Amino acid sequence: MDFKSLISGIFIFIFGILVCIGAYNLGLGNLHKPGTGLIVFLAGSVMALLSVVDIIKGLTSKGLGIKVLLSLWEGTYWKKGILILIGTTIYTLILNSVGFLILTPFYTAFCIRLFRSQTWLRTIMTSIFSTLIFYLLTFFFKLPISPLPEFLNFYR
Amino acid sequence: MTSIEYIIQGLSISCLPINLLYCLIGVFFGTLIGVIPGVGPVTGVALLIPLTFGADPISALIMMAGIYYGSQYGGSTTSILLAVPGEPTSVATVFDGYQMALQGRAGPALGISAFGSFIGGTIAIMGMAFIAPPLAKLALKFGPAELFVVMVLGISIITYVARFSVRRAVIIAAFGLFISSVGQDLVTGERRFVFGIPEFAEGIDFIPVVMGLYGISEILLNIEQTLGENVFIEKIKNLFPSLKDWRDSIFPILRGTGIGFFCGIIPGVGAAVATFASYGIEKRFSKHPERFGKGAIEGVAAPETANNASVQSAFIPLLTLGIPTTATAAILFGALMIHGYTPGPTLILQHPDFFWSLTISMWVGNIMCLVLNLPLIGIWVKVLKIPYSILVSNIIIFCIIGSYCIRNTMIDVITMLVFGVIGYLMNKFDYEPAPMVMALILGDRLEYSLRQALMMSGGSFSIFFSSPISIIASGLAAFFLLSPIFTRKRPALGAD
Repeated sequence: MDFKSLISGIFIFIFGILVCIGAYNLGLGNLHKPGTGLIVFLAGSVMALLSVVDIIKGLTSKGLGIKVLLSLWEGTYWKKGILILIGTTIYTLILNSVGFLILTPFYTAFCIRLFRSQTWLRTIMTSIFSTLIFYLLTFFFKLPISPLPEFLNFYR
Repeated sequence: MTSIEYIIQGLSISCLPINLLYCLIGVFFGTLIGVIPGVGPVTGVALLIPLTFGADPISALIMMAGIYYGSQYGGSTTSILLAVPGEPTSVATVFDGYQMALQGRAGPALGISAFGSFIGGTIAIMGMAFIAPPLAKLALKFGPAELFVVMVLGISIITYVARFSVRRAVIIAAFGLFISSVGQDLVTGERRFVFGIPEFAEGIDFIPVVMGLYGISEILLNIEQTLGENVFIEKIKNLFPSLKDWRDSIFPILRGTGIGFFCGIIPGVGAAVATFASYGIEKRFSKHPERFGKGAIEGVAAPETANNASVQSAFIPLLTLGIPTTATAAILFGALMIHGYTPGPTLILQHPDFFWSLTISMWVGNIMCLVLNLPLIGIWVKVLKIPYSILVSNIIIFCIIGSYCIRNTMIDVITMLVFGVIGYLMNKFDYEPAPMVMALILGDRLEYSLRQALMMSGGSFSIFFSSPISIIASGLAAFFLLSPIFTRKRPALGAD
């Protein structure tokens, strides 16, 4: 079995069916007066129908076992990927409360140390420098990023 | 006003100090994006769109166009010095460019690629100035049915040239169509798939999606990649090619211009195909094909010219028909919409000042690229030495700022992260994002045109075959979607 095709096929098939159900509930209308859900229904149908080919291919292919699926993550540093996603989510959630100028050097340092070990001095200098450059960019291009914590907003 | 008056008006607008500054910023960032391996023009343009939010629309578009063609100039640097193409459009340059660098001829290789790009770009811009206005007048005859089939054609060509299977590309385009449907229905005002998130009532913006699919997912994929360690160290000299180099290169440059120009106009073909086609043609017709791959300057001149000519001519279908021919052009399409311009036949006719300013600024920008690429080559080489970890952290912050600034809401940043993971998984399971981006950006107009056409025809599909344009476009779309069923081989080139 080709697990790679099978799993992606099953996932897309289920997703396509759910989209079709959602679209049907919105109302398909008719060809004279197409409803809100018509094009979404068509999109869901295309996903579901074409993914059946992947499912069949996955079930009938020989010589490709679950090892193929596992090999997708072989030699990858997925823990770092998860850490970067968690770190970025936390950064995103507290950015407005803490402020760009205070939080960003810490976040940049976290990324630099996570991806490849640099000396602490280089990490700190780069983090501060990057933050200042980004702040200048946001300032020049008038981007609405809060530089300071929310409780200091009266200052702005 | 006559065309000459429009050109003069365009020249005066594009040469305003603020527009020159935005053009310079655009080509600088574009070149930088081209230089950095792993950050292609798609990611680059998407990343930098937010920087234009505070700008005047014309300045904003001048800057974004600069990023697009600037990235083509920058891409050659990594190909020649590092043998790492910054983007697919620079792959063909590696074959001979890196060999030239190894032979101590990095200077002429970089020089001819910059001059070739400039010549190709200049001729393509002239072609654009001649072709676009009459084409826009012709396209005015497009009704909803024609618009619908032409948009379907654009998406179907993008799926046809997908790296993996056409079937998977169609699936992912359908997914893009679904994402575009989130939010308020344009016709009835009904909310679709908002899942109780108020921000989704306005729809899912394409910028966080593109940043996630291209920026974040690329970082997740390259998480341990080390770049910048094998930079060609030797001092780069003789950037100006010799007379013999010019003799060898001038006809490849002219042929590359022609090939690039036509590849840029045809939806879905794009710059990557143009570079391989021009390289192949030069090798095929060369008196010394054995020199190719061993440092032939023609092998650098032709593809580098073709990719820039292609990028410039890609603006013709974008501005006249409202059809983005590549993923990057699709993002520019979205950016134009953000700034209040709807790409299509009415754009040039209603806003000739915009069209001519953009056209002339592109030529001015090409001059800037030439200046940035030759005397400042040392700076770009230094950029290549920046550790990937530092680049990555800055790219992520750029993505976060960019996504947040669209609507000042963190939900867009979360959307970007979610699509980053989706993009990562798509890559692992051999689905590529370009068809999805195209469908996402065109989705609203596609749906609107379909519904309008069906209402006009009283529910009859014959409206999609009622004019020569729609018959040809429908036939081509059907060919691109169905031909892989009957043929074993097809081009697997990907869209830039």
